[in-house]
Amino acid sequence: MAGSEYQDEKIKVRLSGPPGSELLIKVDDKEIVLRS
Amino acid sequence: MVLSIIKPLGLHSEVQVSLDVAADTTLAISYKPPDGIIHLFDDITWENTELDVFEIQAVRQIDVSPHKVMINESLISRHPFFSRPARISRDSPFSFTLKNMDKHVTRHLEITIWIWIRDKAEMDQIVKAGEVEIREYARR
Repeated sequence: MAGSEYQDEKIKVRLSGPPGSELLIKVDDKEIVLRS
Repeated sequence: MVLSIIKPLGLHSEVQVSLDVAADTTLAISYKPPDGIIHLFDDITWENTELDVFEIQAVRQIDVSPHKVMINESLISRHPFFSRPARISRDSPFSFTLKNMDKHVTRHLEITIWIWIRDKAEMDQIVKAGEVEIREYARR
């Protein structure tokens, strides 16, 4: 399982999953893409 | 790490998402599997002692598959949408919204999306993409 992390004032998020997985998160007008 | 595959069918994996969400914040979340892979969504579970502070809603009506799975009972009562197993692909991601209803405090939530890997060809694609932990599915 691979993983990645993102953090700002609204959210801290960590993703782990099969390599190549993506998590798209929208907060307000901002889009965040995490790739494992 | 290359894993030996004892049974080509019925393997499962999981996607784990760990979140600290600021007070009164809404997130839209979409999970996409690796390119060329179609997962069969099995279940989604939440680890949080204060789950009630989160409001969780479906964004997309996901397809129903013939597979019968056992679903976390508290999840059924809270979010019946998620009791439907479905195919997840890059064109058809698994999506939902989540809001921290607390007006003052950042809250933590751990989400696990349980996914089926349907056959050996699909498994081979994942293993080729890199190291991956795959465990034989154990019925719950």
